Amino acid sequence: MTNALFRLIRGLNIVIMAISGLVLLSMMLIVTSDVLFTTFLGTPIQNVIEIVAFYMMVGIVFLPLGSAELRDDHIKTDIFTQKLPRKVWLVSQVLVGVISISILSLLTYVSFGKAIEATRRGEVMMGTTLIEIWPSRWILLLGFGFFVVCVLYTTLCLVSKTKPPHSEEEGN
Amino acid sequence: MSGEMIGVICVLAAFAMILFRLSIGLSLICVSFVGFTWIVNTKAAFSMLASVPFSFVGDWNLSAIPMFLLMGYVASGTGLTAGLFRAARLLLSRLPGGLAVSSVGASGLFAAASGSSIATSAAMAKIATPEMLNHGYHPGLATGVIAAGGTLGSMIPPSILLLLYGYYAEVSVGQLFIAGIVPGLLTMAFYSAMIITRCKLDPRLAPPVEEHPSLGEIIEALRDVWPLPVLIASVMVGIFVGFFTPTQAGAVGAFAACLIAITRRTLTFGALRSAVEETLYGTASIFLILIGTTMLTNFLALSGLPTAISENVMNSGIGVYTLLIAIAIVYIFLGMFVDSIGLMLLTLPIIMPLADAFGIDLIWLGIIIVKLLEIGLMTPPVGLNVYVISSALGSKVGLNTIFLGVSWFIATDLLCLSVIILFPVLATFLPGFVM
Repeated sequence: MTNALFRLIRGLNIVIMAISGLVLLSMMLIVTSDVLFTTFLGTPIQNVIEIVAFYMMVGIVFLPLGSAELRDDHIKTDIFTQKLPRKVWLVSQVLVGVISISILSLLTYVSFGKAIEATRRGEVMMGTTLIEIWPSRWILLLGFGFFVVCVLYTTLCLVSKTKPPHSEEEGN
Repeated sequence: MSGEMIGVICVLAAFAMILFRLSIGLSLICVSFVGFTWIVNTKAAFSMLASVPFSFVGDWNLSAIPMFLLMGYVASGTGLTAGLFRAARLLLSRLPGGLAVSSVGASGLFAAASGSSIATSAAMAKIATPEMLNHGYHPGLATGVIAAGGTLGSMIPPSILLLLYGYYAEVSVGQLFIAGIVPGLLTMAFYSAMIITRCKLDPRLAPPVEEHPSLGEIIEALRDVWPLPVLIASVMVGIFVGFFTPTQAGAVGAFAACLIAITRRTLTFGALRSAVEETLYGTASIFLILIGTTMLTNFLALSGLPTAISENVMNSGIGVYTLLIAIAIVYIFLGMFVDSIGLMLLTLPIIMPLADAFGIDLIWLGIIIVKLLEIGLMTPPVGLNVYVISSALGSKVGLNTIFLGVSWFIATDLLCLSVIILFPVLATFLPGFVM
């Protein structure tokens, strides 16, 4: 089962990284253009701050949370667990996985509630003009949702003693 | 049970979870949720979980983080930083310990561009250390200087640590960046003076390098590296004169780094993709901790723990210097176990109320904290930079030798830190001019 799950997660990971990567480069271009427009034409691009904050940053910050987990890139401390006997280590890491999954499930659940609520009332934000920001609530949900799936997968790998993906990729 | 007691229990629980390798961000989110439920109720805890993650992405300063990370990864991934050591070497190799002094200079610039201590140490360990070893330099010096040089990235702007501190302490990020310049240069000067003095006293540490580069060679080397210092200086001057916000500076810097790489034909699809991916991983892991710290701050404020600590410390009658020494001890101790970004965000919820109570200048405090975190990157047993160098060199130099070599730089750093503590003006003078 981990194999099918792995293929699915790997596919999702590639799509998510590609989307957030494009968002990151767009953010660089849009902010740079805004600076150029303001300097040379005296007219800033409308709503840049809001678009960057509520769409681009949400995409850049939350979508890759799961991808970072797959690469074991979230900031952790190894110093104590390194010295544990193998079996104790395994049990502690599965427990850590269960705690992570629980807290992330809660985050996903409340984000879902917020997304539904924001969509119903058509949440908006006052920038230079009024802009709708409710869709970005769904990006947040997607990010946390993928994060849970990734932690679930890495924990399953521990239990079934298969290597998690980050140990298979080169250069990591 | 009192709120303060619940606060203490939850902080200890967070440390326990972090020790068991739960990611720092998730540990903080977890204890804050439990703490909120304990002190108020589940509804309040859920409401905090729902509101915090979305609330601070709107901060215009924080959006500078992915932009500066991207600028750094593009600059180092496309070879803009590759010639730095060669150029520094042509200019400085005739000094006693000249190759080590060149490493300090090159590391400072590399660190400024990459904003990452670890990336700097890893790259310089591959470029500069083998050269020093080939010239008969003592292995401790040849590796220690790179571990220490890498830490310059936390102080010399643009620095992610200063940016995060600025967000948290509500201090202008532009002012903090400018404040980091003098202490950063001072650290480089202290390192160089220490190397030169040691090598003069004991020439066996670093045999002289016979090199007489022609003017043509020097010009050629400088032509190779000039875009990078110019890029960093333009970004900083832009912030200094108030032309850019930090986010704009980061975006323009990243864009300019791409343009420079395009003109040198080094911006391949692979290099860009790798820079983008590293930026995304870095951003996601930093923001997860930020979410955790923001929740912890809300929870601790509710528990009354920071106020209780401040009152107790104030009532104990200690002065500012004693407090700073206590903070230094805590940071150097915890810095042995926890990564610098995590450690700073973990401790600020307690330290900021103390700083407020004592009326400490927040820019000065930021510089002191970053200096302490730099030292934490070199101290055993974690000393991340040391491990990075050891693995970059394929364990050619033993860990003990590197730690011994680094101890000279730690001592120099402590001296430099004392100077910054005794003369706050070193950190606070320049920011006063930021427009």
